[in-house]
Amino acid sequence: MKEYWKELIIKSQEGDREAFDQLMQELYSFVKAIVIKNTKNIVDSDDITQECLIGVYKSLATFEVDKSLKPWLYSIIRFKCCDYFRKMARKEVTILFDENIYVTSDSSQTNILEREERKNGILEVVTALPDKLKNAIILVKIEDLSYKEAAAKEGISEAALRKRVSRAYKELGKNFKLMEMNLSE
Amino acid sequence: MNKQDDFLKNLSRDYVRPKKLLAPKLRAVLFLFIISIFISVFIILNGPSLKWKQFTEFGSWPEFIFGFLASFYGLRIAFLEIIPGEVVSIKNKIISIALLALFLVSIGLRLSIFPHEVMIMRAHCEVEALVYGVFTFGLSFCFLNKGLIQEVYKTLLISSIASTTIVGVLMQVVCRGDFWHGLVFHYFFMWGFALVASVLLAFWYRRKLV
Repeated sequence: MKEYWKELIIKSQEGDREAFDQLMQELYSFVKAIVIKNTKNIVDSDDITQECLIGVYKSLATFEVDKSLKPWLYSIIRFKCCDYFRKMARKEVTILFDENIYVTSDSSQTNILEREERKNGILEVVTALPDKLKNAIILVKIEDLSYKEAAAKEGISEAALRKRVSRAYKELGKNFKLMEMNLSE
Repeated sequence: MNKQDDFLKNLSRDYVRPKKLLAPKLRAVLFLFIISIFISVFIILNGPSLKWKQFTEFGSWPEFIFGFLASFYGLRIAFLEIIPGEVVSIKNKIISIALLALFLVSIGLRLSIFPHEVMIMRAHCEVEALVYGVFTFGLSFCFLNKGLIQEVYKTLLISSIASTTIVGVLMQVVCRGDFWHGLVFHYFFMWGFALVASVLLAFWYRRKLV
C-alpha cells in the first residue's frame, strides 16, 4: 500500500492530476484514523484530516523519492494535530465527544467538568474496544462509509464486517452500562 | 455529496504541479550566493567601495570563512527543518556549533591583528546593515515558506540568525572600525534584529496558522 502511495506521490509531483486525486482519496481515511487516535476527537477529525491533506499537498514538493513515506506523512499529521491543540487552547473551547455540543468558557465550571468527565468516559469506552471492533465502528459510524466500502478497506467480507459492528455495539452497550454505574456511584 | 467528497473534489480541482525544491544544501548555497551578490553590489554603490586589499589581509580570512560556513550550516539546518520527517543529525549540529564557536573566537582575535591604520569607517553603517538585514531576513523567510515550517520559532530563529550573520561578516570586511564598533554595530545589532524580527514574525505566522 505504502509503495503504491509513493508511486502516486511521484506521479503527482510530475503533475498528474488523476494520481493526485487518487492519492488524496487513498490517504483520507488513513489520515483520519491517525488523527482520531492522536486527538481523541471524532467531531473535529474531518477538519483536521482536511488540514493534514492540505499540508500534504503543500509539502508534496519536499518528498524525496528515495526516502521513506512514513516519517514524511506522520510528521505532517503530527504537526497539524499540534496545531489543532493550540487552536483549542486559544479558543478556550472544550469540545465534547458528543456531536454538536460545544461548551464555551462562559458556561459554569461545574457543567464543564461534568461533561468533560463524561466525554473522557465515552472516549475511554470506545478506545478500549479491541482494534478490529473499534476500526469497524469508526469506519461505518464515524467515517460514514457503506458496509461494502468499509469491508473492502478492512480486507474482509461484508458479512464479517456486519458481525464486527454488531459485536462492537454489544461491547459498547456493556461498557456504557458499567460506566454509568461508576458515575452514579 | 458529503463533506469529504466535496473537499477532495475542490482540492483536486485547484491542483497545480508543485515546483521541485532544491536540496537544503543547494538552497543554502543559492541563498548565500544571492545575498552576497546583493550586499556586495549595494556596498559598492553606497560608499567606500570594497577593496581587494581588505580581503587579502590575513586577519580577515578566518572571520570571513567561519562566518560564511556557520551561516551555511545554520541555513542548511533551517532548510532541512521545513522538510517533513527530516531530522538534523547530531554530526551536523556539532559542526554548526563548532563553526559558530570558531567564528566567535575569530571575531575576538581580530582586534589584536588589525592595527589602527587599517581602519576604514563607513558613515551610517548601522542603517546600511539594517537595510541589508531586512532584505536578507525577508528572503530567508521566502525560502522557508516554500516548505512546511513546523517548529516556527526555532526554524525562523535559526534561519534569521544565520542569514543576518552574513550581513555582519560583509559589513565587517568593508567597515573597519575598532573591535567594539564591529561587535556592536555589525554583529550584535544584526543578531538583535534577527532575534526580534524572527520572534515577531513567528508570532504572526503562528497566529495565521491556527
